[in-house]
Amino acid sequence: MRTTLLVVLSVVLSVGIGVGTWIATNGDSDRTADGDDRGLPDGVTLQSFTAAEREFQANYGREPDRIDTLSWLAERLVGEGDAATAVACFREIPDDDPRYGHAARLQEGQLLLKLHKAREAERSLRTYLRLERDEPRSPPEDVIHALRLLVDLCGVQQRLEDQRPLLGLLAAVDAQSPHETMIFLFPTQHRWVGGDARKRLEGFLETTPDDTNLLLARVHYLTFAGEFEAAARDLESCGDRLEPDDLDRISAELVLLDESGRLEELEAAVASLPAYTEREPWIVTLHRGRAAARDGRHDEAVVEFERLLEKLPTHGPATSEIAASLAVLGRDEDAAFARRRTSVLGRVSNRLTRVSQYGEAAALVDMAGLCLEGDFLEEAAALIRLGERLGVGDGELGSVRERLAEKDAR
Amino acid sequence: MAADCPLTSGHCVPISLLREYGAEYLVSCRRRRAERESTDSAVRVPEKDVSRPRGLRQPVANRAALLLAVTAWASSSAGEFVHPLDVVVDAEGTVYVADRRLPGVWRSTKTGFEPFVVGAKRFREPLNAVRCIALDGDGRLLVGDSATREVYRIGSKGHVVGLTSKPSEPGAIGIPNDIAVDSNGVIHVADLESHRIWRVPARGGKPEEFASVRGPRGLDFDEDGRLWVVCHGEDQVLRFTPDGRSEVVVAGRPFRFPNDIVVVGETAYVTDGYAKSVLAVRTGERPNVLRKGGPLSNPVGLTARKDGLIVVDSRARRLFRVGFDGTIGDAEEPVGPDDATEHTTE
Amino acid sequence: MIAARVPSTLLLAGLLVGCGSASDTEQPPTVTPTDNVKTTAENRDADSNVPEAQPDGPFRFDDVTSAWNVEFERMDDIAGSHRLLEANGGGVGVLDYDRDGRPDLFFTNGCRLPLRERTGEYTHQLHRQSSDGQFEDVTDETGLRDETYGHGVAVGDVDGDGFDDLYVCAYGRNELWLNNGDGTFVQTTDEAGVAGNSWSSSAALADLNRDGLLDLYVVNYVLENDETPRLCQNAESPDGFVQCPPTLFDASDDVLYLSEGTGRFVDATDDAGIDGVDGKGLGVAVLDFDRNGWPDVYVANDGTPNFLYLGEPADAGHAPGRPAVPRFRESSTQVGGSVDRDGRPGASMGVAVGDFDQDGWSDLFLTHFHLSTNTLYRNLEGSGFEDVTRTTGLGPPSRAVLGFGTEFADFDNDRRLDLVVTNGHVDDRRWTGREPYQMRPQVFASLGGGRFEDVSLASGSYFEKAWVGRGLALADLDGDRRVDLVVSHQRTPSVALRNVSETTGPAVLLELVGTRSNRSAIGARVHVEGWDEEFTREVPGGASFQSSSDRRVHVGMGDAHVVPRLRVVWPSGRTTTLDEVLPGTYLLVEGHRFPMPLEPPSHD
Repeated sequence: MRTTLLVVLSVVLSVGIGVGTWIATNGDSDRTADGDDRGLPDGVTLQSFTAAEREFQANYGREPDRIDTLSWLAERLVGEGDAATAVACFREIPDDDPRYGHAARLQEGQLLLKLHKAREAERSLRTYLRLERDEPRSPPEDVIHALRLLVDLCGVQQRLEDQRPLLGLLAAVDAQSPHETMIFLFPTQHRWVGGDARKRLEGFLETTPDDTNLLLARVHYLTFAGEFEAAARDLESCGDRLEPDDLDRISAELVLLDESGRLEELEAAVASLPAYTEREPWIVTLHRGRAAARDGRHDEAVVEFERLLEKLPTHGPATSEIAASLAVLGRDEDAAFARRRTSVLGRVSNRLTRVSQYGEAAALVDMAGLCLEGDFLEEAAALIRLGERLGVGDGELGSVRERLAEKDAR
Repeated sequence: MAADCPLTSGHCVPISLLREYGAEYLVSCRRRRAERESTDSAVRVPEKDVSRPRGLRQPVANRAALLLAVTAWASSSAGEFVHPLDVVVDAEGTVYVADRRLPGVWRSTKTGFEPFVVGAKRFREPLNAVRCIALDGDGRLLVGDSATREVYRIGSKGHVVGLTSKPSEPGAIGIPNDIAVDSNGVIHVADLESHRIWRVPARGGKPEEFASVRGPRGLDFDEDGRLWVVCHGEDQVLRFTPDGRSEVVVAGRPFRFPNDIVVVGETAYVTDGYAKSVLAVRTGERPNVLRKGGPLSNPVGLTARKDGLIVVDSRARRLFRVGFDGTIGDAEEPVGPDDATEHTTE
Repeated sequence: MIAARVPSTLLLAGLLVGCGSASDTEQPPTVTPTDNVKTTAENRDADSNVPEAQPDGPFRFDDVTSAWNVEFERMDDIAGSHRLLEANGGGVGVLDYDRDGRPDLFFTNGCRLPLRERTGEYTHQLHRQSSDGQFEDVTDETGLRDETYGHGVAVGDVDGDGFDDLYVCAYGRNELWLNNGDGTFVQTTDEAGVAGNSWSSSAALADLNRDGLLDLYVVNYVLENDETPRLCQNAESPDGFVQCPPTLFDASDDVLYLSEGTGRFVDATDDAGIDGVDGKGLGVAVLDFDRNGWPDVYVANDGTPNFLYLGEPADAGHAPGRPAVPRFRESSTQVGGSVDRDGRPGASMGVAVGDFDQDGWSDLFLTHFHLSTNTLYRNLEGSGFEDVTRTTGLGPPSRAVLGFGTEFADFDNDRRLDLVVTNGHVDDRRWTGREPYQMRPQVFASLGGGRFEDVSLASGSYFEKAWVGRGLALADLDGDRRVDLVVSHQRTPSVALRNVSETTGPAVLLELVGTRSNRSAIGARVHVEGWDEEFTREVPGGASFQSSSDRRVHVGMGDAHVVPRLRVVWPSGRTTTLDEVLPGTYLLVEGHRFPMPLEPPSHD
């Protein structure tokens, strides 16, 4: 099973489900062996380095090389709670070291998270995944763990689009937790502005207050908390460091203008959007559609909403808004279908916590049944798979399985 | 005699003639479905189906016998008040009690009280919400019913006639809470809905506004033809001359919840439900407690007899006799003829 | 060989797993179990940011609770144990039970939990306005004394005798009290068959089958056990627990009772097509939204899609003696009102009904949870509802608060409907540093054109302070034809607020009495015509949250001296037209051509 998982994982990492480019981007690969440099990492004394050498030798019965010692020392430092120095040690280990390279990136990433260095942590974790994609070395659990850490990091920053392919990878190897399944299948039905996530974001910002990703994320949180002035300040502070057509910045701005009722400015911002790109944030596409609908250009609105739904069939706002536009266009059957789905998604959202945090079988089965009502067949199948993994009995899953099979057959 | 009820299938028996509408009569029918279970409905009967049997002053429907007493079909046990609100004693000493939740009117007999007229069990139908009772100039009963916004006259045989409303227009008197009749037989009605006192001609007809009073609860005429009113207004006892001029008898609000008033000579008596009291009021004086506390629980309606006041208590579900000296006893013993105008105060 | 594997403890050490913590459900609380809510006098937000009062706005409300002797504090048995049962609080009903022309107040009370530990010492209370501006607790005198874990109250003339009756919702047994008209009430719950045995939040009395009798729609919340209430663990909470969200509970179905007109009701829920699923109901409003002549029922559900049951003609062939059963079709998905613009169901609590944009159609306003906006649905001339929150200015101010009772009212008599909301969290999470418990109430002035401005901080000291607000009712308590407010709280006494706004002009106050229609005239609609802007005022069943407002129809006149025309459409379908109406308080009886002036009580 482990071997299978390894193979599958490497395959999916290669294929990427969109993640290939993503992990390549900003994933540094600049750590190579630097030869026989005796310079010690920041925070490491000659005494501690030497002690590590001795410990390694005593443990493994051979004389360690520099990388051996750095690895050993780093692990000891982690145990002692000195994350910063441990990171410094791991950083000295090149990516291509066959013994420690991959693991060093993963451990770096974890420790950097602990140090609230979000961007650096992400970089390390992405590098790790890239390395594993190119040459699998780690146990599958480690790869899954890295994916999870990135999923979490993206979630805190409300980067749902980046989070999605990572969740897809987890889904592909059937490794999604109940919570991960919920945020994969129904990301827009969650309320992403919870107190704990914001607290963590603030922790990251305290360490790297100028990180634009983090600042833009906070714009979203502040907007949804009704703190519009503070959100505007954060947006402004990103201004110089981002291109005017930076879509993440635009996305945050659109949300702020919309929620704070600055509707004229919102209209102007949408009117000056750059041309549509496949990778633009969902929010940007959503606002394109909304603006078109407001102008009465419902056929264009439908196009925009359909773009979103193509990427995410359970996109709640797009489903709800496309229904309205379809109705205006006289596409009554399609509108009714969208309305039905809107209702289903509404009822699904009420069960998310019961599955996500409590793994309640009844709620999961209900949810699968609701998905079938809304013709969300893939989602229903995913829920059934989750149920099977959680040990939900045939007695409970049987009927939804049958209904899914019937619908599939049609 | 039973007859087919024109509105429903099956047999029904007319209870009472409720109202005359020119060319039509409204007859209340009761259809018995099972033991102790029946439904009431109101049936319009055209004039051509109505005859006037000899000896009766009012016309009756000739498609069925007019059942004058419904004792056997009353939903309550004989003699047990449900929620009595008002009381009156006729010249023969017969006591009548208006009972909100019977709903209807009880009448005293030698063996106790029996339902005399039972109203509809359905809301908003005749006599479903009786509130008050009085005697007209001819000694006939007048009953106020807020369910149908009407004052009814009830004949000695129990037939019932509405006095104020027409089919085309709902009654003006929304919540008739008390009735008093002057020496000319003109009927005065306290209306809690419109905060007015209405005047209705003795034979019935369209009510005319007599006075505007906040929350008029009780009415009575004194020997001089002045109308005493107890109310929820800023001054709780007012007195009106026949031409509508008013004066304050009791200034301010000394009563917690005044319900009714009766005038005996120079003294008015007021029931105060929340104070569990009967109080005596004289012009120029503060009210004086005549009787307070147990067994009074929520005294509401009252009337006067030679031997004292008859007070009905809605919470105790009893009639009391409160002497002019403040003594209290059970009023539910049968009494003989009594001339209410001959009683005296202390 | 792969180098020494990273121990799993290292992998997990100090790391938060997944994005579960990014969702909202359980917040890490740090409240202490003995944390006391500040008293009224010291009341401030959890955050130290106390805003400065603004210069006077268009409204002014004086807190007359003490001056008028309105003394009621609800017993909620909030023992710091985070039970969901403690969250909803109570309601307030306005009625003139003694018909003295002065509105009285009924407050629902809680009791000890579980119910078997009731002591009998807490009862719902009826406060009678005995003299001008003074209230007195007359619960014992009225016989209304009973102890339930009460929530909502519906007021209406159930038996059509001219006196308002009461239906009290509770966890467990609900109660029907009929007004005898002599200052006392009698409980007829069992004979009526309307006790239920659910967790009932709000109820609406309305004539659902148009037979002239008031029927009853009872909104039920979720299934919960008072003996073993569900609690949610949270390691960061000082006591280790937080209140579980309603998402973790199963819904409890609503019930529709039809009056047989004899004091008995029949449960017609299924026959009438009340078939909504997942309804965790908290608020309800009954009105003929689509004007097909049949009342519709709107149910505000907590976290699940709201219901809009559109009424259709009752079955004409019903059995004699049995009430005609109206048919309802749940249509919120098709016509709107189910979810917000983003397709998400709100945590809907209160419902306000009113023609906010003066297009002649009554719209809906719903209050929601903290960090989400309240929702204003515009009535699309009877064809559906559209979320127009963002164009009204009502969205942004509602994000930081958690709304409950709410009503539209014209507070300054300028003909435009303003809006009031009472706020307060459901669980004390002040230890998070981000979630206040007490929250400021809000009042919004209509600017015309469908837009509102938050004028809370310029409307009187009550609006400057924070409370745990729940029920809210409107009433003209002092007879000056300015709309006053009564608000029920948790943890602090209820308040009465006298509207002393400098008004734009006078007003007309209409007390409507049905004759062919139900006597309370619930469902009546008043079209105000002849001015440039023509609008409507309607008499809904239910509305607000767990509360029942003064049913008299208030029409602000602006700078006019007469109202050119008031066209009353009664629930029966009849119409009464009043021309050239002068300012004043009137009684209008269906079928009468002219209204009767009523002299209001004088206040200082």
